[in-house]
Amino acid sequence: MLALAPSRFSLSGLAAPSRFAAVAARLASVFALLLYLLGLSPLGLSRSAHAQGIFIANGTAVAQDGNKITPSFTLLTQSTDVKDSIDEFQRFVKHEAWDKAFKSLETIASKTSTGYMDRSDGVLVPNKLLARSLLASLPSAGKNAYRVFYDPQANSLWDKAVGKAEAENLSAIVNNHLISSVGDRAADRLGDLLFEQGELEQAVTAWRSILDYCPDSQIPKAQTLVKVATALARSARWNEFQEVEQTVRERHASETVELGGRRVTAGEHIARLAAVSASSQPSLVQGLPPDMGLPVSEEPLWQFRYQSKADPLNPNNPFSIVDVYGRSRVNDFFIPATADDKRVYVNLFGIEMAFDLENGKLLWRSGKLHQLQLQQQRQGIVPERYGVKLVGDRLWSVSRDPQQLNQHPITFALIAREAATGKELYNSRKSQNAWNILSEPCPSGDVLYVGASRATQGRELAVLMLSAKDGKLLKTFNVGNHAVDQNQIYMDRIAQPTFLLHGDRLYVDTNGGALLALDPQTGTVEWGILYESPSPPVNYYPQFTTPAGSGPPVYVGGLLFSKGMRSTRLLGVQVAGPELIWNRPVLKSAVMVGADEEHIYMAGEELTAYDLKTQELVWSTQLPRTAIWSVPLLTKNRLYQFTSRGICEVDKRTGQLLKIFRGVDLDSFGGTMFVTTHGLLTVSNLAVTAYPLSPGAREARKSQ
Amino acid sequence: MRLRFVAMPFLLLVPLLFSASQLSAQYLPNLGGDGISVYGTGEVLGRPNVVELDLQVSGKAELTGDALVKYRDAKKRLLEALDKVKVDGMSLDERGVTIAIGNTLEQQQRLNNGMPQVPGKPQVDVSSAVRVKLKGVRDVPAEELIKTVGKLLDTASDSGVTIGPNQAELLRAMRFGQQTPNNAPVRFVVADLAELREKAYEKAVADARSRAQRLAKLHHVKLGSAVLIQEVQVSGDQPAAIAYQGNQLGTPEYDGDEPRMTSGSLTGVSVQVKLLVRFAIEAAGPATAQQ
Repeated sequence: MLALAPSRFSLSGLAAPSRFAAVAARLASVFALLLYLLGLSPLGLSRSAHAQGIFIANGTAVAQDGNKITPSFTLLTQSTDVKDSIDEFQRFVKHEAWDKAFKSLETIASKTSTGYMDRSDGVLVPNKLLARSLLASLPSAGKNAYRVFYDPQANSLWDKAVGKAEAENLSAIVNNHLISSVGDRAADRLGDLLFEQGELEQAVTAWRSILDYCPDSQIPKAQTLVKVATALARSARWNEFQEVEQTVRERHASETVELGGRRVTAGEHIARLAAVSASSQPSLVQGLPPDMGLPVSEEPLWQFRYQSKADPLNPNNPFSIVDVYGRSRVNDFFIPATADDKRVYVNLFGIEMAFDLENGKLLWRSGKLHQLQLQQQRQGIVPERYGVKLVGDRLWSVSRDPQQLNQHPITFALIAREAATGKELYNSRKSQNAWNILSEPCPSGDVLYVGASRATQGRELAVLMLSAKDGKLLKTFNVGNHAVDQNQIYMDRIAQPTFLLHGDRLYVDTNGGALLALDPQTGTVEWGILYESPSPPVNYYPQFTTPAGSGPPVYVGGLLFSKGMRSTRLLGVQVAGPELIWNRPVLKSAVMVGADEEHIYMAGEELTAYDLKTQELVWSTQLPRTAIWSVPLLTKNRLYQFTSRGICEVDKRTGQLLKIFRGVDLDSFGGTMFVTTHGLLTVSNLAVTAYPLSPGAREARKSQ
Repeated sequence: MRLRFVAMPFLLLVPLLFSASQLSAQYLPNLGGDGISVYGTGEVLGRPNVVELDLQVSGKAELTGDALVKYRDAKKRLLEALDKVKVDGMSLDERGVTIAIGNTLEQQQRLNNGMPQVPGKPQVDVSSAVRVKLKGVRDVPAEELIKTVGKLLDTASDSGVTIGPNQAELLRAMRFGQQTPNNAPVRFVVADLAELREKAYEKAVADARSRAQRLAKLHHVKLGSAVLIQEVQVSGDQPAAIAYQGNQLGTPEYDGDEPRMTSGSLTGVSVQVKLLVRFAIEAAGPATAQQ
């Protein structure tokens, strides 16, 4: 109605049926003019509402009019000549100028740049993968022309694909000439080879390329589907398996296929695989720790309190932390801690400590607690950036010198210690002083991956590959740049990358708007997805900020799940492809906990469970307040969260709160918890407390 | 023509003056006429017989479906938890489900500070208040009653519900200069006012007559019968301001049409009745030697 106001109220367009109507029209015109002058033009409202209508299409922030919004993280981009080559290719295809089209494609494929191109569905892929997609999209005439031009090359590779060179040549055909006459056969054989080698994920990718890119292949579709299903079943990717199973049952059930030299009916074979799925205990549940009964006695085994004497007027906030305005900050952060079967380790603002699990005796510490003069540090203490991780007999911590808390820019270092003695073995402040450590280390065999930026380059993000033995810098993978200088963020949490090493890929969530799949050896990015993640404010406005929840990506049921710390979207990516399957709204504060065969669980302001098949919210449970960023313990049938009112035991299936164990740390805001052979440990903002395990939990722990 | 313009303001004033006189008649005591006018006050202390707790249940999400699931589960878990407490005389009453679409606290704060807005998505907030009532508590020892109320509050806190105003409400109050709600989440209520008010009325009438009698005696006149009685204040009647409670924070205290009195503390609640009474002055008798 407002948008129509000018024409409705224009005097020239009105027939003036009465004097009253004319006066009303005049008044309305004046009112409309006033609104316009006040910047409340009805038309203006209409236009701005349209321009601000934002939605997320396939993971890329896109406005309704198609203009892309500036992302808060940018990957290395492709050079413009490749973009031109793609335009050229499409133009030549349109005019059926095949030879020129293929030349453009060669230009694209020959580029060795490490950048990416938007596949037009929000997924950024390397040029070669894009070239394959472009070839697959050719019309029949184009594919025939391609075979005329490139079959000789492909056939030559096919003929030489024997012995040691077999896998390499087959890969070359699949990567470069998939739509050639031998492309489908090469992909089929490559899948067989990889399957035999136990590379199930890559085998699935090879076979799926036949289904995706070679629709006119002579290989029976049923046979490829059954192979894919077999590999999926072997790797317990039951969600994906069920999709394939349904297709085979509906379309190819009676067809005969050849598997391992035997002729079998597709429907029967897939039914046998499905029966295995139904009878076997879900593998993800098997991997979870057993349920623990909550302690029977409230009496702790021992307790270490950070303050020798609590302030009776403010018992909940032992650390007098202030923000840049000098305002007191609530101690509702969690204290980084980890435990093994002998000790519990705590990183308290750069002072690391180890306690004997049996009696709570302080075994070693890296400094004295009175060194922490937190109240004077107006540059802002950043409790969320401290971390601690146990890898073998080494304790790796992300820390800052307690004596230099007032220095800016805030720079963190990676420190390794002997877990038993606390002896410092490595300190990045000494050997890689230029790097500001941003994340906890992600161990993989004898190397560690850690997110970092150069101390003076607050926008950049790199992944450092370090030797787990001596911390030597082996490689640096430059990932991209944040839109906002992270050194200029004072009132919010900076983006801290998280990692997941799964199969032969290192998945990195920058927590600043990008999810990436990297080759862990070379650092080559396989693909990337830019997701919506508002940039944090770079100013000193005192304001309320919703806690940002982050956690490492989770791989479950063939999908990689990730939720950026400032994002309100839970992403689920099918890594083979890749394809964005989930792009679901969740709370900004939500933190991923883990998953089983049915649900993915999130914590934060509330506990929630989402159905893996339907993506629906199954249940939600609001628990008493807990330390922000703390993650509950996920077991076979339960979720345990250490809250400000005790440890809550929640039924994982229904979300029902079953029991609360109060304990003796009720002045705290909650935090993290560990189950060890010696007892149940809680680490809060006030104390480290050990409780005896219930008899049932002790038995379950022993039988593990 | 000129006369018409001159007379116009006076004509406009007439209804205003008329309404003003009506108002004064309504709110000011009518002091005209003969007689003795006095205020009579009656007060009776009543011990609360009901305890009420207002608990906020809500579900907030970007998708309405999610908000409904969250609200459903929050309410279900609260009701189940309260049901397990097993307290005699407890009843639950859900008060008005509201569905609001608003911005996050962060965006509200940015708006308050005049900061540029980031493109954010509005959230759907489904909420209601669950009123827990404990009846028949007049004879329950105070210590035991407080213990029971504490148990209910603990149960509610463990269920994750908000007791009292939530953060969004407080922020809104700050933004619009409203007072934070002074209606405590736990209220002690005198719900059976009728009997107490009867006693208070009797006391007020007696008080008025006593005062008038004193005045008559001092003025050497004879007190006649009451010729005008007006209620000035009766405890338990809803104040006129209740009409504005929609703009205030928290759940309104009133509960249906029944007269009731509430207190934030477990003390005797004063039930007052104040009357304005005018008594006639009886004509003096014939003059005698004594008079």
